[in-house]
Amino acid sequence: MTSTVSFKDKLKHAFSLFKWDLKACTGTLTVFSILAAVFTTIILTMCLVLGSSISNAFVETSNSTNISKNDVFGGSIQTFQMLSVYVLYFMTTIFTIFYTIKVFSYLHNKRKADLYGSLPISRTTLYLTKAASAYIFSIIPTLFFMGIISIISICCGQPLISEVTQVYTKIIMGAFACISAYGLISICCGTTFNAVIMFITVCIAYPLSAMFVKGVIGGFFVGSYFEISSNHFIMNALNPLAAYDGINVIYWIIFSVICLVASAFLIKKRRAERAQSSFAYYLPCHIVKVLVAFLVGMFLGVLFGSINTFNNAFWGFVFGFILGSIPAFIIAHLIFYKGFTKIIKTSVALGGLIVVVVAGMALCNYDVFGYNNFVPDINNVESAGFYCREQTYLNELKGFKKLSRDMADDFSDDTLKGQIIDLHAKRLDTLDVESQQKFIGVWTHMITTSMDELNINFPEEIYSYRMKNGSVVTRVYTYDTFAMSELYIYENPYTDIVTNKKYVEKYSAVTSADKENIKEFSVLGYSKDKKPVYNTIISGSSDYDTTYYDESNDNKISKEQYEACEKIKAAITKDIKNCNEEEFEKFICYQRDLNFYSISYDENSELTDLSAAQDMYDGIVCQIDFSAKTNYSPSTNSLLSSVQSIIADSLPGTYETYMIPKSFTNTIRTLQELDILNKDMTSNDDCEYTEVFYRYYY
Amino acid sequence: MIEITNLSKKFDKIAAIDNISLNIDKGSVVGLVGSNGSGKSTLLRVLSGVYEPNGGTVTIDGSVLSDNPKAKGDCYFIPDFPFFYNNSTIDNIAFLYRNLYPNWSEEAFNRYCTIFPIQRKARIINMSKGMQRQAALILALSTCPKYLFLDEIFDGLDPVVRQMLKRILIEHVAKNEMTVVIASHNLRELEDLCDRICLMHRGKILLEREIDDLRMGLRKVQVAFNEPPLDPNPFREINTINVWRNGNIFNITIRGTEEEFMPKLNALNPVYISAMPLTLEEIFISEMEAAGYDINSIV
Repeated sequence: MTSTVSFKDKLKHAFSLFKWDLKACTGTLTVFSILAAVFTTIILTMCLVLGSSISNAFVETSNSTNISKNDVFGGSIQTFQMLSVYVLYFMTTIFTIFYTIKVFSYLHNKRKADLYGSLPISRTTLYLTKAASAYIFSIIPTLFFMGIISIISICCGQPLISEVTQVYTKIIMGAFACISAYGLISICCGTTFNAVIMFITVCIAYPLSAMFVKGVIGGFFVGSYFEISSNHFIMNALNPLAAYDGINVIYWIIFSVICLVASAFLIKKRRAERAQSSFAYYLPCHIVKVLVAFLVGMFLGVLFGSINTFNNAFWGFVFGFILGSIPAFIIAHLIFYKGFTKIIKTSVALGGLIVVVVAGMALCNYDVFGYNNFVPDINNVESAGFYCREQTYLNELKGFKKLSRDMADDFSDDTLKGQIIDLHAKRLDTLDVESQQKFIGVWTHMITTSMDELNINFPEEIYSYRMKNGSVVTRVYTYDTFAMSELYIYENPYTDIVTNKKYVEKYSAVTSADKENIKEFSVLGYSKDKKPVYNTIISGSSDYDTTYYDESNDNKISKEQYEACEKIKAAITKDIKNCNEEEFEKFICYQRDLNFYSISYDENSELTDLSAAQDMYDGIVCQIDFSAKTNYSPSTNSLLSSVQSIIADSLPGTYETYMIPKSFTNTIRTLQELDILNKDMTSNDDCEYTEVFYRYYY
Repeated sequence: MIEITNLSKKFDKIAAIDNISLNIDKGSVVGLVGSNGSGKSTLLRVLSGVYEPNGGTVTIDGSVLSDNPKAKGDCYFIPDFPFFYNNSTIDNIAFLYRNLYPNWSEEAFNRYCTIFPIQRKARIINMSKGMQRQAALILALSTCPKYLFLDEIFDGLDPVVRQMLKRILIEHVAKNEMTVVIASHNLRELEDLCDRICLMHRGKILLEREIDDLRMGLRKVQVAFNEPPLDPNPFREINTINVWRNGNIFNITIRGTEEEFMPKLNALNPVYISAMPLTLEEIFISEMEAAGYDINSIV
C-alpha cells in the first residue's frame, strides 16, 4: 500500500523547502545584490559625468533610432541602460552557476543524502523545488535590478533600448536551460566535481566538435552548404550556455522541459548511495568521454593531415586521431572515475569511435560518392538557377540559403539550363583538391563559417538544380574554391548567363533593388549642344541613414527622389520585358563587356562608354548608372550589428550600367516626365538633378 | 509495525543486507548490534527511506516507505553523522520541519530546547559532536515521530545527557507508542533501553530476541573439577557456545536454561558449579565468535 500526499500538501512542502533554500542562499544573494547595486551606480555616474563622449561612442554602435547626436543626456541614459544591463547579464550568468551548484549539491554528499532522503517529501517534488529555487534565485534579483534600470531610464524620459528588452529573454531562457541541463547532469553524476566538469566539457566540447564536423563537410565536400554549417541550433544543440544568446527560444524551451522531465524520471530511480561515487547513471559519462576523445583526436588528426604527415594526409590524420583520442579518453576516464576502474570495459566506445571516424574520413577523403565532381545531366534537370556575387543582385544577404533552394526553379528553358550546367562543369574542370588541401580546408571552414552571421563567407557562385525527380541539388562555391583570381570569369558561358534577358529581369539591381537600397541613380547623356550631362537622382555620396540628420540637411534623400527612381526602374523593367533580343542587346551592351570603355575610340569624350555604345549601336539615347547596396539584416546585438555594418561598408556594392535605346519608350517617357530628358531625347542640362559641377563647368 | 521481508541491499557487488526478514512491533525499542560493516546503518537507511532496497520489501503500518512522503512523515532518522548547513541553527531547521512533518509539536520543541542545554540560535556546525547530536535529538523528538531510527546516538553524549535521552525515549514509547530502532556499539546503553535486540553480521541477522530471553537463554558457567575429565570434550552433550579452560576450571558459555544443562553438568561430578546471566556485551562476543568472528584468533 502506498499512501499519497495531496497536491496542496506537496505545494506546502515545496514552499517550505524553497524558503529554507532561500535562507541557505541568503549570503550569495546578498553579494549579488551589493555588486549589482554598486555596478549600476558606478555606470550611471560615469555615463552622466562623461556625458557626450561616452554617449557618442554608444550612438555609433547602437541599433537605437531614438536618440539624436545632440541629445547628450538621452545618449548617456541609454548608454547606462546598455552597459548596466550587460554587466547584470554577465553577473547573472556567473551567479546562476553558483546557485545551481549549491542547490543540487544535495545529490552529491552522503550526509546531505541522509538528510534529504529521509525528509517526508517526494524525490520529484524535492528535485523540482530545488530546480525552481535555483531558477528563482537567478532570475528574480536580476529582474529586480533590471526593473530599477528601466525605471531610472523611463523617469529620465528615455525609452528602453532593444538590448534591455532582449536581455530579459536571454537571461530567462539561459537560466532555464542551464539549470535544467545542470540538474540532469547532477543526477547522473555522483560528485559535484564530476557534474561541474561534465557541464563545462559539454558546453565546450560539443560546439568545438560540431565545428570540426562542419569543417570536414566544408573542406571535403567542395560546394557543399549543408544546414549544419551555419545552423546555430545544430552547432549549439547540447550547449546550454548558448541559450543565453536568446535565439532558438522554442528549442531551448523544449530542451529544458526534456531535461526536467528526464530528471524527474531519473531522480525517482537514482540510488542515494551513489552520492560521492563517480556516477549514478553512466551514459552521460560515456558520451562526454567519447566527445572529448573525438575533439582531441580530430584536432591532432586534422593538424597532422594538414601538414601531410608520412607524405599522406589521410594516414597522417589516422595517426593524429589515434594519438589524440586515446590519451584524451584515458584522461577523461581518470578524471571521472578517479582511477582505472572499468577502463577496459568502457574502451569499447573508444574503439567504436576510432573505427567510425576513420571509416567516415576515408569515405570523405576519397570522395567515394563522387560529390565533388558531380554535375547533373541536362536530361535529368527540370530547371536550374545560378548566382554569382558580381552580377546577381540580392536585396538582403541573410536570405541566401533560402535563395539557393528557390533558385533551382528559376530557369527552365534548355539554353539557359545548358549554359548553367556547362559553366558548372567548366568550373569543376579546374578543381583539383589534394588531400592535404582538404585538411587545410577544414581549418578554413571551421573559422570562416563560424562567422556566417557576419556574412564574411558569402559564396562567390551558387548552382542550383531542380531535378526531374523533384529533389534539389545545390552547390555553393566560395572565392577560394577555384582560385578564381586565376580564372577569367567573364568568359562564356558566364557572360551569356548573366546578360540573358530572363536573368537580368530577375537578378539585376535595376529591376529588383528595393528603393531603400539604391545607392546611386544617374542618367548620363548629351545636351542639345552635345555637352555631356550628368543628371544624378541619387548620388553615391548621399547619406542613406537619415537617423541622425534633421530635415534641413542637404544630404537627405527626399521622398521625391525615391519616387523618381522607382518610376524609372518600373519603366525599365517594363521595357526589358517587352523588348526584342536586338534591342535588349543594345540595353545590355555595357554589361556584356565590363571593359567596354577600353574599346571607346573617343578618349577625349567625358562619356566614353555612352559614346562607344552610340557608335556601335543605332538609337542609344542615354546611359543609366545604377548602384545598389545589399541590405544586412541588423543583428539584434548592437556590437555585432556594428561589425556587420563595417564589413558591409567595406564590400563593393553592385554597380550596373545600361544603355537606353530609343525602343525603350516607357523609360524615355518617364525620363521626359521627370524633366531629365528633353522632348528630342537629348539630356536636360538644367533640371533639378543636373550635377552642379557640370552645370557651371559647361 | 515495521515489516521487513526478504530485504536485500547491495552496493555494487557487496551485499550490505542479505535477504533478511524482521518484524518490529509498535511501541518497542529494538537495538541493532553487530560487527562493523554488518549492515546496521544500511538497514536504518532503508527503514528511513534514504536507500532503496535491491530486493524484498519494507512496510511501515502497511505502507511501502520508498518515496512515500506520508509514511516518511511518521518517521525520523538521525544518522551517525547528521548533516547541518553552515548557517543552520535549531530554529532555522525547525522552520523547515514545521511544515514538513505532520506531527510537529511546537510545545515539544520548546520543551526539549529547554531540557537540552543548547542555544537555539547558535550555529550547529560550530557546536561539539555531542551538542550536534543533542540538536538533532531536539528536532527529532519535536516531530513526534511514530518511528525513530537512531544510528550511534549515544556517541559523544555525556552520561547525564545519555540518561536524560533514555528517559525521554522511554517516556515517548510509553506515552505515544513510539517505536525506536537504535543501532549502536554501546551495548551497555542498549541493555538499559531496548526490549529487543537484533544481532547482525555480514548483512544477515544472527539472532533477534527479547533482551530478557536473550539473557536467560545464555549462561556463563564456571565448572571446577578435582580431576580433569578424561574425555577431551566432556561437554558434548551440552549446547556450548565456547569453552575456555584454565587448569581444572572451565568457563563455558552455554545456550539454554539451567534446567536443561545443570543435570548434564552434574553428571560430570564437578566440585563447583556457578551459573550467571551474560551481559549484552558478552552475549554479543559469544554470538559473534559462534558466527566465526573470533576475537581470540585476531588478537
